[in-house]
Amino acid sequence: MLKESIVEICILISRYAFLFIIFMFIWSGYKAVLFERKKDIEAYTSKVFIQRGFVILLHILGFIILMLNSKDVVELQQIAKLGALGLIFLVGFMILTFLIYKKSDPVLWNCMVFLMDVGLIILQRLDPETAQSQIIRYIVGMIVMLFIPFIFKIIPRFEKFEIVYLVSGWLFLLSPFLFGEEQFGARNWINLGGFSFQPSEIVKFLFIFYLACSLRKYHSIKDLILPSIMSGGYILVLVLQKDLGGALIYFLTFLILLYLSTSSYLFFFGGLGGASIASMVAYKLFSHVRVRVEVWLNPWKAIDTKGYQITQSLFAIGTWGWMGSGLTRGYSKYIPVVTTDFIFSAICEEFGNLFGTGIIIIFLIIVFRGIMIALRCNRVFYSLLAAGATNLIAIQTFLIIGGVIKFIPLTGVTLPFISFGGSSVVTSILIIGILQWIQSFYEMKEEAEG
Amino acid sequence: MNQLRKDIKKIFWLYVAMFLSLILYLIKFLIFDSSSVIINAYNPRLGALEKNIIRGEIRDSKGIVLARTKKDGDKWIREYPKGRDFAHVVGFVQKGKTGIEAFSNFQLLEVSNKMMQTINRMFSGDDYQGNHVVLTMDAELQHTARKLLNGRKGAIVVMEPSTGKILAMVSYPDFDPNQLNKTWEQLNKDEENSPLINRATQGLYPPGSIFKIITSAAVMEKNEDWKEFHYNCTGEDIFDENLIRCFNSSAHGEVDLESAFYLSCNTGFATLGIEAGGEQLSKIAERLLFNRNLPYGLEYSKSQFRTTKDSKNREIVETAIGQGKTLVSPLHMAMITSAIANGGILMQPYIIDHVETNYGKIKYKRIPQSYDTLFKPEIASQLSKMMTDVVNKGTGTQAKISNISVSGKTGTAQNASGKDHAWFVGFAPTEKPKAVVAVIIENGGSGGQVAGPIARQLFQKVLNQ
Repeated sequence: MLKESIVEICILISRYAFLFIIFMFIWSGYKAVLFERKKDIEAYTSKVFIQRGFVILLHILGFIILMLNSKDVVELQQIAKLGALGLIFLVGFMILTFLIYKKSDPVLWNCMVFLMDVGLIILQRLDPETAQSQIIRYIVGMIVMLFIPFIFKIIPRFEKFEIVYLVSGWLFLLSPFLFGEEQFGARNWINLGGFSFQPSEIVKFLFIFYLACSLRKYHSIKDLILPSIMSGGYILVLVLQKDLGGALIYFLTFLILLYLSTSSYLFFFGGLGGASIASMVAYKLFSHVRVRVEVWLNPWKAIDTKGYQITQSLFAIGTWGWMGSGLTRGYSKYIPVVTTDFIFSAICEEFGNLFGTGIIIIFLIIVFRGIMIALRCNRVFYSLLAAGATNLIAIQTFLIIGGVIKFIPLTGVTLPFISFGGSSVVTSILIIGILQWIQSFYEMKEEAEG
Repeated sequence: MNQLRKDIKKIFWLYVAMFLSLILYLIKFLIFDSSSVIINAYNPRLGALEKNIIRGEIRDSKGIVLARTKKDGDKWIREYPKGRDFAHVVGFVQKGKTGIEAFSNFQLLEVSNKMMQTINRMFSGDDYQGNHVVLTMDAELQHTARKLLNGRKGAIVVMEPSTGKILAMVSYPDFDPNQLNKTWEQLNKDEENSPLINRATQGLYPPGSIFKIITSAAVMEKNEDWKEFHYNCTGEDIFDENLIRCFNSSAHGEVDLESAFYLSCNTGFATLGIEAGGEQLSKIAERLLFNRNLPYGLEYSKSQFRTTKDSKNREIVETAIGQGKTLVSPLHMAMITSAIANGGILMQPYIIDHVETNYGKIKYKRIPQSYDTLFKPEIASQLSKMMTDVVNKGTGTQAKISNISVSGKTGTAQNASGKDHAWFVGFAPTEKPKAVVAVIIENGGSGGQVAGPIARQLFQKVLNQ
């Protein structure tokens, strides 16, 4: 009873500690941005280091709580091992990105690594096996990302390869029809030698590269015909694969890049209008679209069948209020696919909704820094590429968080950096890699010129 | 390039708006929606909490315990010290949850001061204690009300019109919540008495003459010169081939609206109903929450009103005297009466006053809220005056109390199940109403003779305190 009570008290206090950590992390980030504007490099650097300190603190505290709650020695050892590996990853990530991405944006790295650590802790809590494979994905993603600067050094002027992005995009996208398998009602997975992944995740890259290439040359409406047909084709394929979330992300990315390159409200709102008509048609045509919308409007009617997921998610978010149940004290395991689509609900349940709000703000900081990078480019291609990459993160985050809190109909996409899932994690990391490469490219150029 | 930068900034603000809307929606969900969402039976958290938390107590407004959890050997059992008195309102937990036990399930399992309780637990080994729910009701008044039903089928609602507090609510036949495990099957089989139904909120009855309150309001709102109305009652009259009789076919002679009201003259009110017309009657009924949801959180049935602007006179005359297809619950009649007592404004009825932590700290204190204006103030005061006449010199003299002015309306409702239902709705004291009472005795006979005295004793009980 004594040990139990002490653990209970630690968990209760830890809720406030986690809230303090995320608050201080965001606050230091805000301060860092302010100092950066004032060109006070010393203060800026110190705030960045404070942020890193809070990431480490989050990691250590999270794993201590998980260890306190372990049932037996075997579990304790497993958690300790993963915690140690996680710590090595965090520190390694911080050092390697600093060394390889010269002059990149540290606030952006910090936000990303903070989110990845939250993902690691909550996955270890929900399902230790997924946490173990998640850290491997983090490491793989990081290693691939670290190659980006080298690759781009070897291949200069990669805006010349429009056709390569387009064709390989199509090949990847169509591959599930050849050797795909159906998961969660969507036919958008392929399995290669036991390693299954979602081609549409990888195609995201090729898609923004292709759009940035083709749209940068915009002079007249004629230049828009081919990109529009190709994007429409991608989206149609995704709809046929029943990947609604993916289709929506592609569509909005196309629309926003179209707007950025043409600066035409007509295209933007015309596109939105067209999409509304298209979704109306889809609503009439496809029963799975109707089901999504009906469940969104009133999940309580089908609480034990189709509305089960979303209502369970609302219970998780709503039961404990602002401060949450405390790490390990929630019941998020009752939500189906909690480790992927519904991970945000689990975070809100155990860390509290104030912490969950903090997570949304950190995503917003990532978007902010991405946009800053897009703004500093002086070539349209890079600017569009950076905006496109930022856009992918922004749209995907909005869709899934909005979905699990029942703000918008649920479209099954993953929460970047946090959700369990190889293709998603690696893609999200690579998106930041591209952004950071552009950032470091311009910083270095400026330095060389200045 | 500069245009592109401008556009990128615009897109950035679009993202900011999207993310802020996420945060605002989350805040809105937590503040306004979550408390009603999480009490759902499909929320696994509540069931899990039950295992290591002592369910809080349910208490009346004076602190008398209505439900508590006691240790019986090594297992916890829920006990209801007031037994049958609060069977319907408090509900039970043994066979699914009902009543307050269901409605306040989360509060009863919510642990406040968890840190203190955990430290305490370290030394004493006590389990966690859930919060206590304190009702607006009065156990003594409730007991009196149940005794006044005296084994007759029916229901009583007592409300405080100025706040909407429900002071007492009983329904008979009832059941003993402490014996549920033994009697459950039998209670469910008993379709003739349906003891599990709370007749005060779920029972729907023809209103009979108490509906004349609503017909009067309809006429007075429509015609400002309603005082000019005169009718010669001969005890019965034919309207559109429909024969309407007064009680015992007694002839009331020359009546106006006011005297037709306190004498409860059916033929007079049939004429008034035609004068008001189907459109006006249905407009008023709609405003008085017929066919609509009531502002009440626990189980209830919607009252029913079928007359429309297209209804024939033969239907309207029945509606005007509370017969025909109109059905109403005792709670709903108590609400309408309390709006009259409160100058036309309906206060939202409520049963849960506040939640208390195990250290006695008050949480979630309910503040009285007005719901809607049901009657214009001058109509409410006119109705109040007419209802005073009913008790002083009309059909409701049995409800009269010396030195205190009582207002009310009797009803004797014909129905398909046999003898007439006896109704009484009213409030006292007329000038500054402290209590509204709605009484129905199924197949009890005359409203004035049977329900009137019950109302009188309830008024006396409330006012003597």
